Amino acid sequence: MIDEAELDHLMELAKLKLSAAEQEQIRGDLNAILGYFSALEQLDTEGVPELARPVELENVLREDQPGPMFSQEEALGLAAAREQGFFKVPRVVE
Amino acid sequence: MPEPLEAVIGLEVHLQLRTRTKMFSACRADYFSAEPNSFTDPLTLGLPGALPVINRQAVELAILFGLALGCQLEGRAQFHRKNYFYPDSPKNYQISQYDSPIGRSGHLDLGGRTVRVRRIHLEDDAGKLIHPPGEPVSLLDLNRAGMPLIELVTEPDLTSPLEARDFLYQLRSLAQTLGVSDANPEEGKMRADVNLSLRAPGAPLGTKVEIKNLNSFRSVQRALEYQTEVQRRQLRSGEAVRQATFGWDEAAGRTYLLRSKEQEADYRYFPEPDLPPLAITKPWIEKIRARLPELPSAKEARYLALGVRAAEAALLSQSPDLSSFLDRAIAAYPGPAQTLVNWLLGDVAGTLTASGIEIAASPLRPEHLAALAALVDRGEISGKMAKELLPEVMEGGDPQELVAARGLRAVRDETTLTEAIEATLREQRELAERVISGSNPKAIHALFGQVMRRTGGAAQPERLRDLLRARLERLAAERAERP
Amino acid sequence: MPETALQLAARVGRGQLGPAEPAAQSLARIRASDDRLHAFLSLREDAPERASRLGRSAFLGLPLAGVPVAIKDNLNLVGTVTSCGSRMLANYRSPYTATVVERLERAGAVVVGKTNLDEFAMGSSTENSAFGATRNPWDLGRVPGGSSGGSAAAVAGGQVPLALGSDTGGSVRLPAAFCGVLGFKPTYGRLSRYGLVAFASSLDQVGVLARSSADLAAALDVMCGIDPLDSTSIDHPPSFTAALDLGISGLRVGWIRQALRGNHPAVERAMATVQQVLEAGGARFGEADLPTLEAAVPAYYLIADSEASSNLARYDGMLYGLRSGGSDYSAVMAESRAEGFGQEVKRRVLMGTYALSSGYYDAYYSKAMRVRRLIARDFAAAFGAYDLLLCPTAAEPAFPIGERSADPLAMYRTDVYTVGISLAGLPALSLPAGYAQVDGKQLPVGIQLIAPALRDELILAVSQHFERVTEGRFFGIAPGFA
Repeated sequence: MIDEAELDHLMELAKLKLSAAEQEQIRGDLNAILGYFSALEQLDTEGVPELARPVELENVLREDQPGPMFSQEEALGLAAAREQGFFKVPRVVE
Repeated sequence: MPEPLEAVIGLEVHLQLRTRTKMFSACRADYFSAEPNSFTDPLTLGLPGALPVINRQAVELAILFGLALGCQLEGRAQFHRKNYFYPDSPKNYQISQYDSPIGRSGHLDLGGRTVRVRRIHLEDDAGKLIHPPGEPVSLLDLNRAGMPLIELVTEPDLTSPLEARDFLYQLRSLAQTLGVSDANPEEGKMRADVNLSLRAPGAPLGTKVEIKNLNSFRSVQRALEYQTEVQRRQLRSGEAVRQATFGWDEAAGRTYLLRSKEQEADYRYFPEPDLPPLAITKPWIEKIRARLPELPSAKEARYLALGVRAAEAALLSQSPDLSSFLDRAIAAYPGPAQTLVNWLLGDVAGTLTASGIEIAASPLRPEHLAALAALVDRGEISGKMAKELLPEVMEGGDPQELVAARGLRAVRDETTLTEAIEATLREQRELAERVISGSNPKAIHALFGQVMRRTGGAAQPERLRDLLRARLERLAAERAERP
Repeated sequence: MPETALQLAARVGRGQLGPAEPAAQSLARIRASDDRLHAFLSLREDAPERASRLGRSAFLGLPLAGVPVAIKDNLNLVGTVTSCGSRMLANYRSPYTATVVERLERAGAVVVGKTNLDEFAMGSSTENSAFGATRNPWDLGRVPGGSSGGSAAAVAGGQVPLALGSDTGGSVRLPAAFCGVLGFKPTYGRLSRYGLVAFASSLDQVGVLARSSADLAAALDVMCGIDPLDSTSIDHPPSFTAALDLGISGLRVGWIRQALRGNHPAVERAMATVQQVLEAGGARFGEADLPTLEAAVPAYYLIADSEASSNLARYDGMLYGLRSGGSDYSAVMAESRAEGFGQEVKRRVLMGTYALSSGYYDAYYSKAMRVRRLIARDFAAAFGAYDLLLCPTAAEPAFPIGERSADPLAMYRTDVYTVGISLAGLPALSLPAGYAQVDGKQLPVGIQLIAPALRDELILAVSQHFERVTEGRFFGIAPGFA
């Protein structure tokens, strides 16, 4: 069950700010979906390993050789805000 | 009488690896001092649709490092996503390793004490934020984002701030020797966070605090000393230590609160779906083990066995460049290693420091240093002469050639020396008389000096001494025979 | 009747058409029809000019020479906006191109535009697009399916012969069924995901929509194959065109028992049609048991939402995309995401965040990943007795716009027949095999052909056989758009 406090916590974890009305609506949705998920509890998965992909792969590596890079202009061209070669972001207090 | 409190210290160290490209993309890694945001690609920027691909060299360097630390390596290593939002982290998750790191249960020996290494794992680095004073903005440079890092976590086995600092020195030298990392804090290639708690001996572990943003080994020591004092005072006054994370203000010499325990992050780790696991197999490990160079401890033992003084053996083993130079010189030199060490750590080091260059960048060749020392050993030139020649040898000059070119080879042949002796005896009749008559045997030293001066300092001292003594003895004997 | 991709390529190859002409014709058709369909979010108006500039000789011998294609707007193509149907990326212009798109272009295809989708591929109807819904060409009051609704409508509406979509839980197969076109999802890993905007990393695959099996095969031959930029891509060279004429004699085909009930009569008729055609061709039919089929839906949504919550974390306004105001970085991030994301996306991101959060990982994500293995085992067991498995793509034909958009759970159940296949990573095709008559309109229905992992080519052999025998009767363009 996701209560208001839990939703607050989730919004902070997911950096998603919802209006009060949105919160109410979504809380209801999420709890309904959670109920749906409970069907999984009935399946016995004791000793069953997780499945990540249909064909097993391992040691997929690349050699340490340089490839293409963006120019500074290409990188910064996407930015909402920039200054003298940097991405400009809201003040970060460490 | 207050109980003595002991410090319990653990370290979390990040080392930036010496690779040509970043951890998960082929973006070049040699961004140091380049224009900001000029070393990026889709993954570095966290663009929609970008995907990671593991850098083989980064994995192999981690395995190499793990081997040198005696870590358990074999098995399955998996990358995980560590989810958190921060502007310097373009994807807002770091690709790291959670419960299946590359290496576990290693150790590093600190002159008699063993510090256990809990784990080493690989992860990608974040970008760099700078905060211009007085402005409501921060500036972000992503050149560093995506660089490969090894994170090393120790058990809380360190017992003092000085020991912590020492550990970092040893770790740095190991990383440098192996070629795993340049490991210099000044370039941000080695960073350490520390955790500290105090307890009475034998008591259970106390509450620990974490200190971050330590930019030098000295800061590590100072910050630990500071917090130790703070905690000591707290505990003595009956106050409980609260779990917290601090930063270190080097200029002010104090810690400042970053977060208290209540704000601990939930990273929501899950296996990185974009990256299949790594199978660290025995054959792979053995192939990499063959790349292990001689470790500092083995090097130190070898120098000691060669008769090098203890303090100097320790120092040399910590410096990959100096020891590699020394080893090549030793290979070209028949005499005792200590002689070369004296040169290397004495006049050579002095000259290097004065000209501000490192041994690796110097034109001085190990074979030439060996030759110079050998010339002195064989008596062909004096020690004084060798010192005079050193500057040119350090510029790359071959001592044999220099000596030949200037005819500096100490004069040893009998004819030349005899001529000089005869000429001096004729000039210095009074001095000669004193020796021959036996009234002042010590005058031979003055005579010696005169002959030496006559040869322009080129006479080989021992030879000259022998010839001069022999001549004067014969003259004295002749006198005794005459009635 | 607009030609197939290969027909166009042949004419360009013979010099009967200039390489720019098919693209120009396609753009004309789009301009004439897209105010009704709203299949496209952006057009590459200069596509014909680009093709012209390359010159005829540049297209010589290329398998898809001059073929106009549409690509879903969650595939990066340099210079185009890749909005993913979201306000968050409405101004994001790709600085790089997805591998599969690059391969298509190198084979001579000409991209004419980016198609509409449910926002970030989350949805089954394309109603979740921030830029308005796409309409089903067979009935403009109905959804085209989702999330690749724009690509399906573009093919079914005769705008392009070939389109790329993406399929995470059915997002190519479902719209293909609703729009009466072929929609194929390969074995996970056979098509590179590099440049496909990630929704759920362990499930996403690029998919292809077309009106002929040979077109599908040609596109797959060109795009499939390992990509060093995608660590999950498989080294399994394609041979789809070669497989087309393998025939189906002796093929063992199994209907998935759990999918046989509760289907619309038109779907049942389509199933009978498929069985009839294949049996006449020498296939033998039976029934296969897949007890975990229903559990696939909650397992799928748990896994997809969890991975999505992490994949979508990068959209925070800092480096690109929409940025809102705020007092500090945390507020700016939260406001930008609130403004940039639609309701469904927000729901899924929060759901996924919850499922991964401390204390819940074992009960949710990990549990779902283990149920996933049970589902894969079920399929593997079924493939012990059968070469091919069959079931409807959807239980019903396309529903009216707005009917399910207020009920997320009802929307999720639309995927009951498609998600299990995605979880197991198997290849599947939605084969148009019949029509329903609803409100005076013909509405297509589709049947899924499912093969074991890496046996994708078998599906094309069956599809080709069906197409030949039925003379492509069910593969036509929607009336009003032909």
